[in-house]
Amino acid sequence: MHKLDRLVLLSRYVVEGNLAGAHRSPLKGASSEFADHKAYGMGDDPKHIDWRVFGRTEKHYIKRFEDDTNLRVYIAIDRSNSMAYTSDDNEKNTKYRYACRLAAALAYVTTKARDSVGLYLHSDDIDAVMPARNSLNHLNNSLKTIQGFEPGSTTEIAESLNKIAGSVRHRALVVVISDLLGDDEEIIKAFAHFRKRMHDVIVLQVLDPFEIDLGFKKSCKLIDLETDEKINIDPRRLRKAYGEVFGEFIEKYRTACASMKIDYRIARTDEPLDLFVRAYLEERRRLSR
Amino acid sequence: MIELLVPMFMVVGGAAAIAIPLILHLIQSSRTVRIPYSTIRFLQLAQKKASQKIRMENILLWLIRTLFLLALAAAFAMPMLRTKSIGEWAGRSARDVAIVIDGSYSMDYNLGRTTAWEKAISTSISVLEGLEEQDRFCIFVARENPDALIEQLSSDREEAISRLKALEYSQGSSSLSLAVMEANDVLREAKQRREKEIHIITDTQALPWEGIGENTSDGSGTNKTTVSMSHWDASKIDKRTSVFVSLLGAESPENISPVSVELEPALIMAESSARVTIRLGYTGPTASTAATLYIDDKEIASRAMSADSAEPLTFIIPPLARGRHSARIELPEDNLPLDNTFHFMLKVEDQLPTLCVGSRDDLFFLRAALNAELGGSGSINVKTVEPGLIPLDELNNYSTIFLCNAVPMGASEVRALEKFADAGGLLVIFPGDKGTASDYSALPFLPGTPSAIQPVASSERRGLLNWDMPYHPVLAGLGDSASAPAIAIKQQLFFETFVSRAQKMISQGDAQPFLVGRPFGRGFVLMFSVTANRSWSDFPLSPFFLPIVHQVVQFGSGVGSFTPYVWCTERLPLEQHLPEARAENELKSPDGETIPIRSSVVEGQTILHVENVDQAGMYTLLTEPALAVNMDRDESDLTPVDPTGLPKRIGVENVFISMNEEELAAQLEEARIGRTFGEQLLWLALILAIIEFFYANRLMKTGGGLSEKMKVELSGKISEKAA
Repeated sequence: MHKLDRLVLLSRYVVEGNLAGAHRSPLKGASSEFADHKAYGMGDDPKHIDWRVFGRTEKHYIKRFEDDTNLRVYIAIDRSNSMAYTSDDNEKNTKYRYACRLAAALAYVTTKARDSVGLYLHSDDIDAVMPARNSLNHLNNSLKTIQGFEPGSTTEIAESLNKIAGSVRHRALVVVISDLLGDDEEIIKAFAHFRKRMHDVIVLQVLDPFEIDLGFKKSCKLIDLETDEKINIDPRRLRKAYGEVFGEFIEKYRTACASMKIDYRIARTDEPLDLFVRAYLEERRRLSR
Repeated sequence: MIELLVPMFMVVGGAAAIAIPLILHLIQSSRTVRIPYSTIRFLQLAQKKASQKIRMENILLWLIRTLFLLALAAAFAMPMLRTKSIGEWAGRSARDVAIVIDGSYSMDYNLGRTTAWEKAISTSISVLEGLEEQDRFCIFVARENPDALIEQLSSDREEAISRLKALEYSQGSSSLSLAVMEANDVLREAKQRREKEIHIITDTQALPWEGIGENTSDGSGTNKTTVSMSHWDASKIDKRTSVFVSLLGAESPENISPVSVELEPALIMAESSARVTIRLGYTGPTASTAATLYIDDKEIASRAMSADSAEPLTFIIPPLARGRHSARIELPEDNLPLDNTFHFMLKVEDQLPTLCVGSRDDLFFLRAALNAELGGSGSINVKTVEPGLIPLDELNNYSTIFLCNAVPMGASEVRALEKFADAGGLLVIFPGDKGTASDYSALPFLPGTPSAIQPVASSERRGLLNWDMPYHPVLAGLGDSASAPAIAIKQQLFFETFVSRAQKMISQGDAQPFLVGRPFGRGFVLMFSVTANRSWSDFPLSPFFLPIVHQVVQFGSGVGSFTPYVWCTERLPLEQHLPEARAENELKSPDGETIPIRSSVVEGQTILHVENVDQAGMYTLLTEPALAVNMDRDESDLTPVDPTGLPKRIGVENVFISMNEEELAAQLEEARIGRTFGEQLLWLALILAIIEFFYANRLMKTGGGLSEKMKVELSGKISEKAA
C-alpha cells in the first residue's frame, strides 16, 4: 500500500464535493479563482455583491468563484459466483480476492488524496453499501465489510449497476470492478446510465488468464460456477475458436466504453496488483493534465 | 489372387482397428477431469462455431488411425498376391524350405535308367537350385529315426548339394512322419515371417505314409506305427505352409522277396536232416520266381514257385556237422535287388546237454532214465552235480537243467538260473524234503506260489494222471488221457496261486496240478509237485516217467532256441540273441568292419548289446557265424499309396502332388509366383503413423491464446492496434 502513497486517483471531470480537495467543484464557492457573475436574488449574501459591476451597470450581481472540492469515489465490486474462479494452484487467489485487493488499493489512494471513497458490494442485488467518506477509519471499516463476504449466487450485474447509478446522487467517480460475464448489452446500458448521470466511470474487468487464453492443457469437463451446466472440451482444439468468441466479447465492451468515454481496463489476475494500479494511476494522471 | 499367410492377424487387427479408437475414446471420456469454471457461455459458442471443423478433423484422425492399425494388421497377416501378371512384376518373397527325403531301401527301386533314390537326389538338387539368395533351407532324411543332413536353416546351396550327392539310402525302413515333424519344427523355430515350404520326396510306396494323418494304422499294431502316430500332429504345421509331395517311384511297382524262414526242428541234430520253410511277399502282378538255398555259401537246392502260392516253399536241409552254419535264400534279381536275399543261421548240435542238480539219491531214477551212467544216452549228454556246486558260468552250455530237491539255494544261484531260463533254457524242478514251501516261494521263476508241502490223505493217494495239455510238446506222442497212468502220491507240494501265463499240463484229481509250466523270458520252467525219487510218490516207477523225461529234454532243446535271424536295428541286446558273446569280443559286420560290443549295467546286471546293426548279412563272432541280419521286410511291400488321399492325410491346405521332377517344377513355378506385401504394408503403416503424429500434433498444438492477439498493456489498456 505504501508504494501507492504518492499516487492519486484523479477524475477527468469536475466533481461535486463537500470538502476542499484536489478536484474542481461545479459549485461556485469562496475561493480566490473568479468564476462568473450572477444576478442577486433573495437569500444571497450581500457581501458577495460585486460593487464594481453595480457601479458600471447599476444592477446587483453576485460575484462567484471556482471552488476546489474533494472527489467522491464509489467502488462497485462484483461478488458473483463467477468471481470465485481461479486457475491458480492456490484456490484462494480468486478473481474476487483480486477485485477486493484492487478496490482496497484504489480506496487507499483515494483516501490518502483527501478524497472520499464509498463501496458497493453487489451480486444479484446490492449486498453492502459504504457511503463516501474521507477517513482511514472508514476505509478500514469498508475493507472489513468486504472481507466478510465471499462470492455467491448469480449476478445480475446490469441491474445492480443500475441501482448503484440511481443511488449515487452527486457526480462522482464510479469504479466498476467485475468480470462482466453477464448480459453484455444490459451491462453496457448500465454504463450508459452512469454516464447519463454525469459520473466519471472506470471499468476494471477482472479476468483470470485461463479465461482469456483457455489455458487448460488436457481435455476436461468444465462446470459453470453460476449455472452448474457442464461441457466437455478439448482445449487444444477449441482454443482458437474460443479466442475469437471471447475477443469479440471484450471488443464489444471496449468499443462501447470508448464511445461513452468510459475508461475500460482489463485486470489480469496473474499480473502483480501493485504494478497494475501504479501503471494505471500514472497513465490516468498523464491523461488528466 | 490375394491370400493371407497369417489370417489370424487380420481378424485380430481388424477388430483392434475398430475397437481401439473407440476404447481410447471411452477411456478418455471416463478419465476426464471435472473443473469448475466461471462461465461456459463462450465455450458453448466456440464449440458451436468450431464443431463442424472439429468433427471433420476427428473423422480424418480416426480414419488415419484406423488405416494405420489395418495396415499394421495386414502387414502381420502377410497378404500374398498371387496374380500371375502382377506377381511376375512384384517378384516373390523370401521363403524357408524344408526338404524331407525318404531314405528307406525301397528307394533303390530300379526305374530303368535310374532308381527312385537317384531321382530323389536329383529332385532335391533341383529344388535347391530353384531357390533364391534370400531363401533358406534344411534337409532331413527319413529313416527309422530322422537324419538331419542340413539341420538348421541355411543358404549355402553348394554345401548342401555336395552333401546330397554323397548321401546314401539306408538298409532299413523309414518314417516320414517323424522326419516331416522335425523339419516342420525347424521351420517353426525360424522367427522371420516368410513363406514356408515342405518338400516330401519319396517313392510311391504306401508304407512310409503310415502314421501320417487319420486312420493310417494298418491294424497290425506294430511298434513302428504306434511311434509314428504319436509323433504326427498336423496342427503343428502352419496351415499356410505349402507341402510339395514328389512321388518318384514306379506307379505299379513289382517286387518279390523272401519275408521269413522257419526251421523245423529249430535245433538241428548232427547227422540228421531238417526242413526250412520260406515265405515270400510280393507286390504287383503275380509272377513265378525261383528260390535258391545256400548253406555255407554252397548252393544246396533251387526251387521254382509262384509268388502268390498259398503253400510256402520248403527245402530239406541235408545233415550237417555240429556248429553254426550260415545260410541264405536268394531270389533272382528284380527291380528292388536289396531284398532278394534272406540270411539265416543253422545251429547244429550233436548232443542235448543236460545238467542234473541233486544228490545221488534224489537223482537215482532221473539218471537212470537219462542213462547217465554211460555218459548220456544217444544224443542226451548228462552232467550231474550236487546242490551248491552248480557251475554258474557254464549254464549257457546246457539246454535243460533239472533241479531235484535242490531248494533252498543261494541268491547267486537263483540269479544264474533265472538268467538261464530268461535266455531260453528249460528249468525242470522236482521238489523235495530239503526245502519248505516258503523256500520255493523265493524262486522268481516258478509257475505258481507254493502254499505247503503236505501228506496226501490215504483215500486220495492213488489216482489217474490227467493230460491237461495233450498237444504240448512234453506230452505229445504219449497218447491221449485215456492211456495216462495211475500213480500213488504220499506227499505233494501244493500251490496257492499261479502266475498269469502258468499252464497246468498234468493234474491228478480235480484241481491239484501234477506238472505246471510257464514261459519265462525266452525260456520255460516246468515244476512237478512230487520228488524225482520214490519218497513222495511212485511216479519214477511208472512207465511214463522215462518217456516224459525224454520228452522234457527234447522240449528243452527247442525252447528259446537261438534266433535264426534278426532284423536290422540300431540296438541289439546280445543276451537273447548271442548269449555266448563277451564284452571283450568283437563282432564283425558282413563287410568285415568291427562292431564293438558295449556293456551297460541295469539293475545290477551287466547287459551286453551292439549298436547300428544296420547292414544285412552274416555277422561273425570269433570267425564263427553269429548273427544273420536281414532288412526289415515291411519295406519290401511296395503297395503304392493313393495320391488323392494324401492332402487330407497331411491336413494342410496347400498340398501339391507331383509324380516327377518336371511336374514339381511346374507346381513350384505356379506356387512361388507373387509375394507378400508385409514389408510394404509396414512401410505404409509407418507413413500413416508419421502422418498421424504430425496431424494430431498440429491439431493438439497449443496455439497462442487470445493474449497473443490482444495486446493488453500493463495498465490494463487494450491497445488500439490489437483491438
